[in-house]
Amino acid sequence: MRFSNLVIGAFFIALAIGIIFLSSGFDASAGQRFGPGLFPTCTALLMGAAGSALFIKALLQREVRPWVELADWWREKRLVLNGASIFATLLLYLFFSEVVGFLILVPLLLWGLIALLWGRVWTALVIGVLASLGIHLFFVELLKVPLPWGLVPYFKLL
Amino acid sequence: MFENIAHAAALVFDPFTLFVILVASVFGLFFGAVPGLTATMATALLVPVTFFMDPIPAIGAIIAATAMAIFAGDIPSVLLRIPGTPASAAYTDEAYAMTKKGNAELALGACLVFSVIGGLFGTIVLAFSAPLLADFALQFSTVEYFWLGCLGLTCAVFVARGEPLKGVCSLAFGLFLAQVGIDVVFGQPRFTFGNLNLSGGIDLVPALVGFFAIPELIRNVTANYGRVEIAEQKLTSIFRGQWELIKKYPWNMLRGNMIGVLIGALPGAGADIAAWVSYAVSKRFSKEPEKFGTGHIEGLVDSGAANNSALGGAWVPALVFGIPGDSITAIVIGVLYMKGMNPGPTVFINTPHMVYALFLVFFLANLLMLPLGWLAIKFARRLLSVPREVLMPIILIFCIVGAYAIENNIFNVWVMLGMGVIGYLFEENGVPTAPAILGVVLGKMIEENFMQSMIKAGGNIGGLFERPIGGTIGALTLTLWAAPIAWLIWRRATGSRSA
Repeated sequence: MRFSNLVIGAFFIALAIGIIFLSSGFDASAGQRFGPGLFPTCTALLMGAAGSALFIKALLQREVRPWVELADWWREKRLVLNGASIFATLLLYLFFSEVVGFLILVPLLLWGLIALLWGRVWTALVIGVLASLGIHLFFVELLKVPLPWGLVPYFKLL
Repeated sequence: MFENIAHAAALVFDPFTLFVILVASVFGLFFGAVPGLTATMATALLVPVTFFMDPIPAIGAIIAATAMAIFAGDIPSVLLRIPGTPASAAYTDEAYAMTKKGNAELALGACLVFSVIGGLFGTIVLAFSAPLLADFALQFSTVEYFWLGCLGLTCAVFVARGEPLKGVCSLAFGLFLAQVGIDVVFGQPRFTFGNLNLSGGIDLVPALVGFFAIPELIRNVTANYGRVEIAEQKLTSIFRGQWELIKKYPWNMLRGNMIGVLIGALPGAGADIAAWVSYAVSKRFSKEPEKFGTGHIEGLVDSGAANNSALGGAWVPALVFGIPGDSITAIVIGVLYMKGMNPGPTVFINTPHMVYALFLVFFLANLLMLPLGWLAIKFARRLLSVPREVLMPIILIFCIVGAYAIENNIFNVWVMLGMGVIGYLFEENGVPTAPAILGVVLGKMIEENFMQSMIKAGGNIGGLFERPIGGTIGALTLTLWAAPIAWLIWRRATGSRSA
């Protein structure tokens, strides 16, 4: 997703205004000339100045580019799906990993993702399961990272 | 000193450390050789793993992986005409032109041999210059560190690719991210919006993983690569003819090494810029400039040495002042802090054995590059045939778990996702990412040093110019800030006069 310099400049100006607004609420410290709002304000001024210069430069140059332009890959459904699958995987992990557990969720996610990108469904399943077990072993057994177990203990009880 | 070196050797030649260096080397070779995976991404992915190690294996893993990755990026350049990492992009066409002439073996051999020489040169410069600089830096106070940080950020904007204004926006964005969390001087929560997870600030590791890995993952899965055609050539005697090249181009080799070290030491400029500059200089001063672009080895000698020597160069300001020379050392500084090896001149006094161990790892990694690089070239076809459609999903899961593992907190995965989206949008829109990363790393250091200087000076801003070294660096920084404005005014004035 490509934005014109007008939009990029405007975005940084808006962000700078937001930072200045929020910084104005920071408590001034007693007896000090400089408080916790100083650096955020300076940062916002720098950002605002650069954003304004970018905006004005684009205005003066009469930039002909549309405000928002989609990258070439947006024209191919398959590639859009591929891109979306990365975000979908991340979101699914974020929302369901605690409930479902790493050892159940990740093989499914990897299977789906590899099958979608590569097209070989059964090989994808084998790779997905093996890679998940490998990552789990490495992080849980070797590095002692407590990855979420989710429903796995219930399966053990059965 | 000898006691410290012996202590350092014991740390480095510990079987576990050697094993970690070996595994990280293979990891780096793989990441470098597969187009789309970069040395920075390899470093970012290694950090969560190194979190659980002692300092020397942790740092050793990063040094070995990055050195190998920078060299291995040359393999697909020669065989596929696709740079494995951005550091190989400068001479990809030249290298592939050599392959088309049937000289792939010579090109790959030169890439390996001159990478090793460049890496060793960078290490020697690091080992000799860092302690001297550290000795000098012992006189530094918070004022000098404040100005050095500002100078570092200024350099990062100047040398960043693309439009400088976007570089400034990127830098300011990085500085803003560094301010999120409880302010360490006044204890004021800033930009946390009541979220407890943000009180400690944005964790550097998930942010870096998101910033570097997620955009590359998206780029990889949304690109139409098709089937790769690997050049069919014999790759058995890659060392044949290399000694003749060293004898024929000694000045090119030395020049490439020196350019690499100098550019590497500049904040924001890394191995890729070193390679581009070195290749251009090689062509400019060549006796046969007309041969460049037709499969001429001279440019490869210069730039192949430059990109690996830049790695050592980038470590000099990182280790002595805590100012990263490139994106990789920006990540490394985070790791050094995590491991209690806070960069700065005192690290040379408090833990000299660690510093010597670090130098030893550099030597070892660059020497290991020779046999391991030879093996990587031998198995290049297999390496390049690994389907990216399988690799990318596994890397994604690795990113998720890596971001989570730092604090065992799912919030860090959100941070990674957010930073990944921002990183992707930045890259798509020509906003350079290096200034933002430097802003994140240096933001806190600059603010803390400024506040401490002001407390010492009783709020008098003139205190920033009272010390000779600090005042000089300050004046230099202010001159650099004023230079673009002065240049613009001068150009307007001379333009209107000539009109």
